[in-house]
Amino acid sequence: MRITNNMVANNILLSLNRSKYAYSIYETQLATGKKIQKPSDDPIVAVRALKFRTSVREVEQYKSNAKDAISWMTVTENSISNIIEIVKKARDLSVQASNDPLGIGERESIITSLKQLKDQLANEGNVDYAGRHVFTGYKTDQPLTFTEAVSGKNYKIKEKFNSDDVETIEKIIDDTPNPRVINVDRIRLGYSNIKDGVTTNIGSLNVVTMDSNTTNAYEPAEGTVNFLKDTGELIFNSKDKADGDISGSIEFEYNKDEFEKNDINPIHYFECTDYNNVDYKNQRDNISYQVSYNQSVPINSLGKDLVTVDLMRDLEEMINEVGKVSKDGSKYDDLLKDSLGDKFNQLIGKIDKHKNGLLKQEADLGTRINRMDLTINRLEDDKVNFTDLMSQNEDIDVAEVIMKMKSQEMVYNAALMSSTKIIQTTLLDFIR
Amino acid sequence: MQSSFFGLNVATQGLFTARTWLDITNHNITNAQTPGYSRQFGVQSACRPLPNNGIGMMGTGSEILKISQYRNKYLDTKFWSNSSHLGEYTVKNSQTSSIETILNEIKDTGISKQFDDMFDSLQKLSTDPSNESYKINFIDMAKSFSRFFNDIGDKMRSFQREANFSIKTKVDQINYCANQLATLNEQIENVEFSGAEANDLRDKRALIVDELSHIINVKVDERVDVNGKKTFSVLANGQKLVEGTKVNLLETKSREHLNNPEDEPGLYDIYWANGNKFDMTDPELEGELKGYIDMRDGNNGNNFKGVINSLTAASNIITVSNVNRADLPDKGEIKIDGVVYKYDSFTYDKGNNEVTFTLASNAPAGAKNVSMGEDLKYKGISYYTERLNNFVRTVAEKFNEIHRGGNNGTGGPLFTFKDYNPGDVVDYSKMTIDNFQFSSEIASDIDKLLTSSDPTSGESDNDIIKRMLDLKHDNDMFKTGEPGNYIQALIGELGIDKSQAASFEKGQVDLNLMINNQRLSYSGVDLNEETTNIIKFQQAYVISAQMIRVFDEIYDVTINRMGAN
Repeated sequence: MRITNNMVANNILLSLNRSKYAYSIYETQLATGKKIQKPSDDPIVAVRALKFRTSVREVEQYKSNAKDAISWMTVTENSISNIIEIVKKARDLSVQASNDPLGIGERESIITSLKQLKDQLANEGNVDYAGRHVFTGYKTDQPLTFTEAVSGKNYKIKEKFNSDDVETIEKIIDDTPNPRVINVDRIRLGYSNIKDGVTTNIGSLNVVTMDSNTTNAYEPAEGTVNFLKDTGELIFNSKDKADGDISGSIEFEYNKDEFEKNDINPIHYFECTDYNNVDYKNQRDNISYQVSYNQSVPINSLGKDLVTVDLMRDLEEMINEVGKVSKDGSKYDDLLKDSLGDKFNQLIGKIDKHKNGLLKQEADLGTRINRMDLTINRLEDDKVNFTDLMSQNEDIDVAEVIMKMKSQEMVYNAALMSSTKIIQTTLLDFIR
Repeated sequence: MQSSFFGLNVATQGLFTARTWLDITNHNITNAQTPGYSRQFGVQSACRPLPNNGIGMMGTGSEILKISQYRNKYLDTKFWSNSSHLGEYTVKNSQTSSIETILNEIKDTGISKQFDDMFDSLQKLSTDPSNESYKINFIDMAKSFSRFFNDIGDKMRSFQREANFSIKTKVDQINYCANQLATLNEQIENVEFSGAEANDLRDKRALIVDELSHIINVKVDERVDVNGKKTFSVLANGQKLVEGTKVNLLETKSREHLNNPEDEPGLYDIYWANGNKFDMTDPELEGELKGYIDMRDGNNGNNFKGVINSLTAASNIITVSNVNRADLPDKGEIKIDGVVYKYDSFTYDKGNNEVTFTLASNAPAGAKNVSMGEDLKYKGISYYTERLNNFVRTVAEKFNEIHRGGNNGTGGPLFTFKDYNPGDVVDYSKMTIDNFQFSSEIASDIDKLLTSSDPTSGESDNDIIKRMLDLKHDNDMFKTGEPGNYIQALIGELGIDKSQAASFEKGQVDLNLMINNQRLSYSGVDLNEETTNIIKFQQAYVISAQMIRVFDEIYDVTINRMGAN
């Protein structure tokens, strides 16, 4: 075969060009640290790179969510342990107050402390995390309790009970000159000082609205229910109760337009309609953060499980009970005073129940925080794994590329050298 | 008795022959680097001998009968057929590379990145839906997501315009080559009429065919008729382009209607000068022209297709079922059983997946297959644009469906398009990567970005946001799975296409080099050889001159000295 000058030139050019190209590929790899610069360099690596990048970004976002969740839950946890402390203090005070020989003066000072604790409790319910109230479900912009007194803004509140909620309490009736102690069957609503009457679904009984100081307020006639709007109680005739007239689900609907500072906000506790005709459904709002693909973790605790209606009402009632003693030395007063020890004893029992509930909530939250810690650990691992895989997939082995580049450089130099040798000389150089 | 000057004549012949060879060699050397040049040689032969009394035939010297060239037709044909492959894949390689650059995936600014960014901001928003700066952040990310697609759309469009312009340029080049070939044919015919060989003109002609074969697949034929007249003809993709001195040129005409719904308006169709349409979808077509056509029009068979159920009487209203898409131009052209019909409007029935066209003229009874544009099985600009359109439409529809559930079902669409009137039902077939945008209504009033379905449940309710978040892993969104997979699959496809084009190109370059080297091996000038020739014929010349001196001395002896005695 004839080998002509232009053939040689063509071959040299092509191989030099290819050699330079291969060299430039290694050069770019070193400069960028990546095996590929565009999808076509290696489509499989490219697609995997995209997948890994998305995974790493997701894991990072989940981690940030999880950290956020832990912060939120830590705030919640602190607040719950504060609440528990407050409740414990209230119990200690109650134990002190239940001591029979205690005089009314000492009990009144204890009540002052209880009032403060009740206010603290209300305040604790309004704890926020970065401006969002943590105990109020989705309504993070609305505090759990009123931070100032509200008047003239009507809430239509609906409460649901069943027959088990009818409790029997002792009541001292001021029947001068012979006050007496009677048992009363009642349902206590969430609020005292209710605006007007109450509507209910108990058709068989006739509800009569009155104040607690009305005669026979605590002794309704058969077939009648006394609704005491100042204390927020519904008093049943014991015979009606025994006859089973109060059964199944009982609903009461009432209006309240005056709230004191630290009163609980009905929208977080009850099904209600506010003064702007907005309906609230009393759902168990569940704020949850995504911490992994397909896994959401609830982060919030609900105020109505912590600062409960009952706890607030129990404290309120106790405070009122002590306040009723007028120290005029009447028989009724004596009887009231005598009963205080028992009342405080009963309160201890109730507080213990509340406390147990709170401890359960605290434990539940603790578990969730633990789980979140584990999740963060796992996400941390995932991130390392994905980053590792990503790196394996698309990053170069620097030593290897340098070596390849060096050998490519040698090939290139050798090609340059040999080509100059070939094309420099012709036969002419050797004539004569 | 032989002539007294016989030897002198023979020696003179030797001088002429050597001189002619030296001229040929000279010509070869000066043209060693001339593109397309094939080395020439003299056809040398001994002159007619004279009978010499008694001793036989006496040689009368040498002569050059003609100057010929080394040229191998077989290698030329091989080169030309390979050259059109090379042209096609060179174009396809560089063009897919451009699409790759436009999408810019695996760098830090690709679709995946934008999509992830948007979902990151959505995740943030889900942790605090009441936070206005999170809302604004999400809106910004969604805006930049949509703008990114607009930008891709812009680039795709200008890219398609460039490909279109290249098609025109290539057609012009073909015409230019054809005219040159015809001119050369005439010159060659004139030269060769006398029996000589028009070596250099032939080289020029072959060089033009080299150039032409890069643009389009050619078939070259040179016929000799009974009178010895040679006719050189060139078929471009099987159709006569040049025959002797006659040419059949091509021309480009702008389309009146879109072939693919995502096309730029007024793309060129190619026609022969006699009015016949040049078949741009012919699978036999090759060359750079084919490369640009495939890139510009390639829809991978995604063009509109459907079947008329029953058309009992001729009618201008036809209902086409089983359609593969409905994002058609408002008015345009369809083919019914291969015949072109114009339509003035159409409606789409999503439930039955039927398109009803109102035609400008009646379709005949019994008509069956309806299609628009050409079924071009290549993944070109149209294909990728359509895929991206499909992506934004699907994603937009899913987001909008969820957002509509916000605030007791009063949520407006999150993603709309430029000409969308607020309040209208979003017609997703009108949405493209060009006009796709984040709702301007919501962008200007962030309270319209809804995060929950129940307005009273509270500011931190995020059920809507959560459902949107789930979209990222919605495996049913696309046939290829979740949206991330869709983009990955598309990028993978593009990467494979591009690397395939690149490796085809490389293979063709190798093959081309090989064939070209074979040609050069046969036709190329080798300087060593020419040097040898110089020496050879210089020596021949010197020796012939010496011969003359010898005869001169002989005559001197014979005439001067012998006569002087």
